[in-house]
Amino acid sequence: MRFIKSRKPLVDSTSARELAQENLSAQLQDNIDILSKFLERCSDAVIKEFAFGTPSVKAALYFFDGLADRKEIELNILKSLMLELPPELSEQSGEPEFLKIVMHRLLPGADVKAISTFDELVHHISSGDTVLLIDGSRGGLAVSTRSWETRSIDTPENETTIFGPKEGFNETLRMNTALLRRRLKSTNFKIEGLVLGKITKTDVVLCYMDHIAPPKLVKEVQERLAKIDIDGILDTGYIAELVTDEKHSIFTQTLHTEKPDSVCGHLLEGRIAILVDGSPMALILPISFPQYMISPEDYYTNYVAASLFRILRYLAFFIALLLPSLYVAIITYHQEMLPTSLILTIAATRQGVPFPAFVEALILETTFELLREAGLRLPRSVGPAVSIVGALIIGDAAVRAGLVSTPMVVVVAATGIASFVMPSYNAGIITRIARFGFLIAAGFLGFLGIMVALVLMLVRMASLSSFGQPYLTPVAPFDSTQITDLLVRRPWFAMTKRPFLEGMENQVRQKSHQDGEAKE
Amino acid sequence: MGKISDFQMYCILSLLVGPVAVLETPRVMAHQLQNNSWIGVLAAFIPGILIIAMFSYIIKKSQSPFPLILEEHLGKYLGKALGFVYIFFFLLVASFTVRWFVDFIETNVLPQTPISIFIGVLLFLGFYSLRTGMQSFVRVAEIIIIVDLAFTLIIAFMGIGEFPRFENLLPLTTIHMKPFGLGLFSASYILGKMQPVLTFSSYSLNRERIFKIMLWVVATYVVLITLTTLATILSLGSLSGTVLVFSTFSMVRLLRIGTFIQNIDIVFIGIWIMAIFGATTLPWFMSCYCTQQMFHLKDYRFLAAPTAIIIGIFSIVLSKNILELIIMETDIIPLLYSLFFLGIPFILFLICLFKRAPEQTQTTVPQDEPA
Repeated sequence: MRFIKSRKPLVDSTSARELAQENLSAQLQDNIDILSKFLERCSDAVIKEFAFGTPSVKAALYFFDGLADRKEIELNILKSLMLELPPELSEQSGEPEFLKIVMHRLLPGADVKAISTFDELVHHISSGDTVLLIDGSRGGLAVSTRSWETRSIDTPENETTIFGPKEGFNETLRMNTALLRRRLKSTNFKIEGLVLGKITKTDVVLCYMDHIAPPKLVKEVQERLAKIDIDGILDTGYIAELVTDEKHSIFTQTLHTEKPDSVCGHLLEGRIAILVDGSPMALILPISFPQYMISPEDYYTNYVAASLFRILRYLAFFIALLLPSLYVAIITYHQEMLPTSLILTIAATRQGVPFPAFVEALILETTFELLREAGLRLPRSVGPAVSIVGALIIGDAAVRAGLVSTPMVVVVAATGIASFVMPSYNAGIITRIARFGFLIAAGFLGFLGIMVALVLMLVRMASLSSFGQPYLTPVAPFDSTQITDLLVRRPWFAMTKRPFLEGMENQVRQKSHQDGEAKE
Repeated sequence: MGKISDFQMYCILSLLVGPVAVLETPRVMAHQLQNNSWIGVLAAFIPGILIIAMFSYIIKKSQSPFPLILEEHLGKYLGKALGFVYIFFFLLVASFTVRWFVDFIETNVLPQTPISIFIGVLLFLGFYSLRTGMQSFVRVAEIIIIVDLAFTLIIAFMGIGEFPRFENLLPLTTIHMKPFGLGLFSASYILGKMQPVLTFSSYSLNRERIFKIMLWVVATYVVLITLTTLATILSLGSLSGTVLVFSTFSMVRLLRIGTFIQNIDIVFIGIWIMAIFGATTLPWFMSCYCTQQMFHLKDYRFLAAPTAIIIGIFSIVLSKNILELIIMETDIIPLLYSLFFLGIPFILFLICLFKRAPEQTQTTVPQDEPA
């Protein structure tokens, strides 16, 4: 047993970092020596030294196996260099312009970038590019040979819709940006790239519509992203936590979506999307809480039906949040509210149950959450079976054993169904956590407790903002112009303006329908 | 604190005058005017206009927010002294509101629970809200007013519709001047609770529209209390309306929705607690704000904790039982409120009459983003 805590080993990372920032040498052997140090114990790194032209010029190719397409390397790089280099050009190999000549005359078809530092070299080969270093030339050429196995574009599993596009993002950033670009054929659609993560060097893009998104907001997001100084970014979730206004809250202030059509809808309303290489989730900001109740499908179906569905979702939100606590409050404190026949029925079913309603609800809710988590983590073939076993067999057995009452099972089941109605997973998480708070409040003070918890929740939500936008907008601060497309779905012909964001310069979405008719 | 929009201003002023009045005024009015109590409330519209005209004029002629306004018009020493008194006065208002609501809950809903629990819960709400900042409170006030106003109107209309015993309103002609005057005073002095507008106007996005906003508040108050008083008289009659301590609550207890939902009084209380939270937090904020201004402090939020303790203790020692509290409510509180909410502002108004309007309408309050 160690009684004296050993000192943490000091890592001398500065020298390696400084080396990475160094410029590539004109001497190929020097570069090879340094890179050998960088890439030692990297079994997937491929270094191919060769000579081309007459008189022969020494060169080397660097790439990672599995990330780069070997066929493309052979066809587009090696074949061009070996067979297409005229002798008069080969003689210029020592000159500073030789790399440019190779880039423009020998590799014109490929996506080639000139690089000058070891850092750039490592970044490019880690991204699937192949780097060509030529003896006598300072710098190198990064040729795009990216080719790795990716998941095909599929229907998003967590955001299924009946109407509208079925495509979903996958883990490849460029494919995702292409899905957006295909829908927004405008030069105003900007995709700003940046690299985040000191080790992962993850490609991140910031998407926005230049003439619609408020410039102040774009600048703010850029600044917050620039401040990120972390070793790795593996998903948009990392960024969501790092850039949001209030970090210690269950109320998430960003929206995640896998649907490119949903992202485009948000971009057209002036919001900003962040996409991360390796993540199928786009991050939308700023967002207000009521927006979690909106499904992209609302805008593809008839507005009357969509409005009714939206109202249903709000109802489901309140059921998911409050039903168990209301039941506990009524059963424990306010029995007089129910008609005698109903209260007698409930009393009969509760006879023999050893727990008070509050404990009963707490046990069942926890069991339900356990089942839900188990259903998510288990393999797909087993997941549904566990859910059914949990819901039917355990529930039924618990009632038969007299551990819980039937009405409580009905209440918890109804709560569970209602929580699945919400289109946003984030809203579901908020509801699940807050529900327990309401349950405890109802257990202590009945309906009064519920209202106290509700006021606390409202105060907390009102204090939040998402990139300066109040979290409860347009309810609080109240905005009559925007609330009509939130509680219900406003018809497309009436949506002449975009929802207002602070600093937005272009709010006109379409020419007024009536104006158009009048002109005709 | 950020800038306050017109609707937000309407909401916070409504929260100041409405919540307690809904439960209290119908009984007081029935006591003074019996079957004609609703006429007294309706007539309160005229004194209401005079009160808001007074506030509006003071705002127009002043550059500083309340309590600095006192120093501006009454001089440094008297203004400062009155400012200190107002700190404690607002604490009293908050304490009285808390105690009054707690006694109501204690006697009608959960008689077994100690009052300290309710006081603690209410104070925690206000404390959390003040710590978070007035900006979030003002936003919550919007939701509270939308929900509570709709709910109270539904209750009032249901009360009128369920028990339309119009004979309870007769005879209409027997109104004597003295009880009418007292009734009118009882219904009107409550509008003086809008006095914090002298502070909030400095944060208004649109200072010129303050009078109009206050007019809307007066109209809402008159409509709401008239309907509630009518519903109470129609359902209980003027005698029961006078005898019962919480006549509005008794009326709500009688309501049924269809033949299924009954005894919805707890829902009424639950919804109403939101409004009481507002009615408690606003004078509490005013007390903290006055302290901040008087002592030139950077922030008022840290005062939430010590003032919470003061309000908590004060609300417990305020009276021994509900009987004392009711005596206090009928005999002391109207005079005290009239003095601080109407009397001193009236003196300010008189002084303002002989003063020139300030050249620069810009106040000394820092300009901020909308709340």
